[in-house]
Amino acid sequence: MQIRSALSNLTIKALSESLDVRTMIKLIDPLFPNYNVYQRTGLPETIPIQKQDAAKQIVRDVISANLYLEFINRLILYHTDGYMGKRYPINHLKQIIKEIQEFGLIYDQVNKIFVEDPVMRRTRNWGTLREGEDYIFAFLRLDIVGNTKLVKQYPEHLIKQTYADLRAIVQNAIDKRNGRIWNWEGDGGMVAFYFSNKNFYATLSGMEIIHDLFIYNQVKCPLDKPISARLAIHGGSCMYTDNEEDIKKIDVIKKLIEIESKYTRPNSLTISNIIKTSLDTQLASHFKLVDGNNDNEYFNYQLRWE
Amino acid sequence: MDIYIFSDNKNAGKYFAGIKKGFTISFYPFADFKKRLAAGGGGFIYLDAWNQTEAAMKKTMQTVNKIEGFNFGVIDAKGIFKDTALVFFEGASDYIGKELATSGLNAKRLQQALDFRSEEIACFLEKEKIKGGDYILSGDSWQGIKSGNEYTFLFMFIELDNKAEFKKMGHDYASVVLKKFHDHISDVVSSVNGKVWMWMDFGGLVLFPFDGKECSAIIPAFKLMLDNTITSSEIFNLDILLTYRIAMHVGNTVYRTRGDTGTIVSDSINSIFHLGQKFTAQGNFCITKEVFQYIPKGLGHCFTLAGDFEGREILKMIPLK
Repeated sequence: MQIRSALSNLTIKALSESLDVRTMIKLIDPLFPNYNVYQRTGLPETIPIQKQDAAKQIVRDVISANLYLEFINRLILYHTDGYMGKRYPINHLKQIIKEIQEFGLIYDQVNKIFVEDPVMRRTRNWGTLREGEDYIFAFLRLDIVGNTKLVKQYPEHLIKQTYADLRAIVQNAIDKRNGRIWNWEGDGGMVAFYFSNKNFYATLSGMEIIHDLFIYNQVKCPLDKPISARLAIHGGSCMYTDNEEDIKKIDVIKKLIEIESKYTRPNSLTISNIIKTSLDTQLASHFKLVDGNNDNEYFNYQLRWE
Repeated sequence: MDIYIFSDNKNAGKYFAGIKKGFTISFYPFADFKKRLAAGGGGFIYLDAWNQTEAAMKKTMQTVNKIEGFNFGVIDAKGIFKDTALVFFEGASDYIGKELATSGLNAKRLQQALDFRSEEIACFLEKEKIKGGDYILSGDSWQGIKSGNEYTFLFMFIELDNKAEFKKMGHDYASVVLKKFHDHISDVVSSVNGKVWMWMDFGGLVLFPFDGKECSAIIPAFKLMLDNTITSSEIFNLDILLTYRIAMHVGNTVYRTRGDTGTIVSDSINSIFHLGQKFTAQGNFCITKEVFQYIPKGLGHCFTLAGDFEGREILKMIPLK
């Protein structure tokens, strides 16, 4: 993200008007441990440094280290939650956030970070996650049942069309909930959710896919038999990476694959206990305990007719 | 009417013990169903999944479904089918689960099962006849629909059920939720050319142009029913399930723009409001036979006869648990 000088100047103004130099140093400590403002500015330590000079140097360093958004996150945190029991109202913060939004980023109050505005852009990392760093995600996996048999049984163009339709169903369900397809092969894929109430949104997406797939099978599926899919959702902390082979080695993903393949019936959605506990009681009540696993509790959703 | 039950469960007779007249019920070992099919002549049979696997039952249903003239139901007192919709996908007209098997069937219930398919077929066969009736087709879009003229529309009534819950919420919060509901419905129906035409506090009436070919607008209505839990959690953001009822009918009315409808007198509008408010139960979706004729054929399986109302035959979507 290229920080324009107007935004840089506004940030300097906000910082110098709102915090003393000592607090500024505390503020950036997680970004620059043991930051020495005198060393950075070249000013002698015998003369008290002006707030304006310290703010200028800090903002310059933050921008050149590509840590501007993290820095603004810290400012917002001081403004809203405070530090060591004391709140620090930051002048011009609204204006700063508004200007950042013009870059296509919105502030996620749940995760307390800036993520890309899905209306303007959709990238794999929400425009903010960094390779190699740990984050907490919810993952949704979908697998088409009997793919090998289907591919042998039907002409290629019918299979391609059906699978493309299924992908469109998935895309529709996840786009409005800010999920990202991280992996998609012919017979299914994996979607990551990070934004806001990730477990909730992953679950609603999974349920909607089950519903849409049911309708698709009744009114549109070009195959002479309905297409079936198994869906599973699990979540947890894992390292963000663009490398798809590395993703498969992550424990959370291994567990997700196990839930989908071992504990999920066709045309149903199974969620782990971690996911279920974060749902409201009304929504959670639609998930039934899956039999046959004593070590972990999994819960299943499917269309149940009277 | 002859009903053939193919079952290896000694107690299967108890399920039908309440049916004293009107039907001749015969019991045979499960494996004999093939002989009955081979004998031809059609009829209604029940397949009891008692000592069968889900996969074996699926194959059996596929076999029976291919034979012309036979309709069938499934008895599943053990709950072998985790996904009960599957039996309808495979062409079944009835599903007798654990609860119904325990309580037993009555003649009315059995007749509904028999009517399920035959009604579907009869309705489709009658399409041509009704099409030539009093319909003034409004087309497949709003282009050409002029205020003051009479047209045939597809009407959709939708209304929230939980009115008492709103009283508990307080006026301001209830207003926010009700507006969200209106906006959500407006979004959903606009994707298939629908317009919210009349709106009261808890629901209203949506119009879709009708071209006499297909009521594809039933698809978003059907999806609204499936998505009720999602809508309740995500749109209303409440920890209670807010349900709604939907009714659909094809009929005529003079069209006037929204807000200018106060003077319209229309039997069809009265009918759809009555159907929605007096007949359709909470959380249910009812359609008139006129609508059923024009729905995408694949969805026919998901509706069952619900009775007569104000001289019209009504079908209802099989509800979700």
